[in-house]
Amino acid sequence: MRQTIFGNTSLSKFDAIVIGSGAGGGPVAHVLTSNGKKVLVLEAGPCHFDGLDDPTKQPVSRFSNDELKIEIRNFIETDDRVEPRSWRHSPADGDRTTVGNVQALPKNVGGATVHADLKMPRFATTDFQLNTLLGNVQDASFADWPVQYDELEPFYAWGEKLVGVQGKTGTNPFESARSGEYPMPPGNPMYGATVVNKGLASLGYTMFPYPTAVNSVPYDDRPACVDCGFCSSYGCASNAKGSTAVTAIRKALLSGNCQLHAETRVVKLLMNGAKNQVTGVVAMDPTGAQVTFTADQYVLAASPIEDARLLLLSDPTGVGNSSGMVGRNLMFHYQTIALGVFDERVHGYRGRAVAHGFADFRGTPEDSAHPLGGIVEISGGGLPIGEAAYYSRVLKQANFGKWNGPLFKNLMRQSPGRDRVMILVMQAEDAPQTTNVVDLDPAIVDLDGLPVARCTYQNHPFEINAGKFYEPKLVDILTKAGAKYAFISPRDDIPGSQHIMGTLRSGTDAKTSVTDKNGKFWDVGNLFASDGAIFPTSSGYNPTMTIIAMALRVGAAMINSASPASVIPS
Amino acid sequence: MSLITRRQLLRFMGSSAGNVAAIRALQIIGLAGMANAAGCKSSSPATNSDGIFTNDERSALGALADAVLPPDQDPGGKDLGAVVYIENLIATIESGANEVFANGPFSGRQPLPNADGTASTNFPENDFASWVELDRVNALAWKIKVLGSSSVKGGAPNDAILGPVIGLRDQLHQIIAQAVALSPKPLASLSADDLAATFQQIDSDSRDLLVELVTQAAFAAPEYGGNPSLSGWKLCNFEGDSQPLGYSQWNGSGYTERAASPMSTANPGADPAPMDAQTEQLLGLVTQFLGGVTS
Repeated sequence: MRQTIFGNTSLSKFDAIVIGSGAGGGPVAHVLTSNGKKVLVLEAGPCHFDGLDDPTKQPVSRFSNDELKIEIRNFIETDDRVEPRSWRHSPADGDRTTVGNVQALPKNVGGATVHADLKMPRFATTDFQLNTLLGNVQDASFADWPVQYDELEPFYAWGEKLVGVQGKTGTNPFESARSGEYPMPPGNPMYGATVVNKGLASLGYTMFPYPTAVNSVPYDDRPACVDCGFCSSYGCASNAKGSTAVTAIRKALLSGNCQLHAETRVVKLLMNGAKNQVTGVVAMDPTGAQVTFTADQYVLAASPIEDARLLLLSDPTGVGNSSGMVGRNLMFHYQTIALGVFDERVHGYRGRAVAHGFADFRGTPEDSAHPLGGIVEISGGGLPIGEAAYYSRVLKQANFGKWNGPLFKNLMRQSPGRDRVMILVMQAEDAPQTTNVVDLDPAIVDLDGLPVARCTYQNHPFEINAGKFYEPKLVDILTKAGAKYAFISPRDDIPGSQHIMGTLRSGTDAKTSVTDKNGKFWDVGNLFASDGAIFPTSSGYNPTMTIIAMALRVGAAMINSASPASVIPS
Repeated sequence: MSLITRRQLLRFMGSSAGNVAAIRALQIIGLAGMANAAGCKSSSPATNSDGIFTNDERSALGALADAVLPPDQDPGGKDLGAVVYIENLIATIESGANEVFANGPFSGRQPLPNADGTASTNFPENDFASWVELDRVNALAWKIKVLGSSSVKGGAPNDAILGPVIGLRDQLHQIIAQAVALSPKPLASLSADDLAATFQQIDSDSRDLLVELVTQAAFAAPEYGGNPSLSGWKLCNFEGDSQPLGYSQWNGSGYTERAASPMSTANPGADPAPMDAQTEQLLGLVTQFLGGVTS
């Protein structure tokens, strides 16, 4: 029988309940428990690290180099047959246009930090000031953050130590000031990136080792990464990846102050009569039975879409929604993906998915000649089953639907789409819009009969135009690097970035935001949010490091609201 | 997220339907209608005793797998284990064994490293030989996928709006029956050309499903029933699962790499299967169609 309850099982009274164990929940649990608070973590998904609470040895991962298990059979992502979401671009589309996989994230202990390749750049100073720097952008809702970079910097440094980030100060010319060096040096480079760098260097762009929460050397009792090649989308087989499961959550469990219930999905917040205090949570336990848990304080960290859904499931008008902003300003990164196929086998599948990147396309807010794009990841191709799906799709269209087995087999042997391809992925700023919103679908339900989240979302010309501006430049880089064929991948109707932000915007005004600078709900005295939901804007850098830094700060503010920085360990 | 995923790969050509000119161009250069598999006698696959398919159905399914991946100098879809793979999946859900996800972390195919990062002669146990117990949510999802929403208690909450989910088991019985009905002779006795022609007459969604399942069998870890003797990975020049050795081992002062499969440098030796003219023509037209650059 698999373990579903971890940590100190004798605890029965809790100072705080943390809903979710990923980048938003794990750090809060760590801060609170290391400061003596008793914490119950409720995680909807299972735990795939056996012995996560065993102090005598490292946990044993159920993850493996298994493409079928992760990419095809959906080991950790929510399954759209039983937990779908719905989608539409605007109310004019009717109730929905799609039901299925809408930005599904992994549901397991460690959340999305388990499957991500954990690219960990910080946001830059200007990313926190875009309302001031951009001025009015029509139909967008850019806002300055209530926390600025300088205030967040020590929490970034703390977070980098907590999960173990490799990198090198000074290699990214666009990086904001750091108080210290990265905890680890960059790991071994991937050959494909050195090939792409020929194009970057010829055009005057600067490639740098991508900050990544993967051990380049043994760190924190976890081994160095062996660059197995099954990294992005995959849980780590060796614990070299610093997911919150094997870092923040494990530390919380080992503190003696934490109890974790896996496979326990919170479905409702119980409120007092005035609706300004949470009095408990109702959850579905591993058997599907309803159970109730209570604590003094509650932290939402179930990811932005599920956070908003839970608030709406708990109250038809939305818990903490006097501003009317719950669920609004939903953001994804606007990805532009360029592929270059080389004559030689650049074997980009060997390694930690991304070893290098460049930030020359992040742009400058005050300079219309350099629109706000985003950091660019230099990655390789996928793995054979995905490769086969790609060729079958191409051939089906190329041959008017007629199958061509011999050609398909030759493509698998010659592998232009895996072994010879390098890919540039730009993670660009997604303009916030109040009309991009999460609410409850009026008819579609999940396996427990609860309404699913519906996303109403369309892109703003802000990011569309930036994408068009940088597309030819990305192709040019690949061509100059020696790619024989280079092109931009068509975009899908539903973005697939899995970088989800907004829905519970933080701010300085209770009329226009849901949470304050400490992640505390304006309307509910004992409720906090600590994940990407509280982001006012999306930046053009991967969000996980900033989620962790903000979550550490939320946890610290729960200990000392007047001086969260005083909680940072020396 | 950065490495291109299956979803991204599927998306890659997803929005390109309708560019008739480009597709016609592909036809003009001869990429259309090239299904002329070379004949190659192959042995029968192992049979599964759980009785998902009759022997005739197994034979037909094996032939269809060979239409997806025709046998040539490398095994075809049947010998790559497609029938066993498919039958295993259906049987495990029908029986309630729910062996859907092989366990981890290691398969035992790669050795543990020495202190200097080189490969040792010690191999870990094969964790892939055991299976992860499904949680409540995953168990329901897989029952729906394999048995169909109407066959599963609690499996059809949205069927009134979205329509029922037809289970994989029923789909495959129907596809095999369809293919058998289209052929004047047993599918396994058809020539490669006739088999390809019959395969082409199956409805498009069913062909897609067969391609999906056969390629999963061929290129997944062998514990799932396909890829016997790693023949699928050898076909596509893929090293397979690489843990715990990986491609780059910290040795205390730097990194040790595998000589035959380096990470930070170019491959040694000759390309095992260089791109041929047909592949380059296809890439050229895809690039043209997407407004890219060919050098």
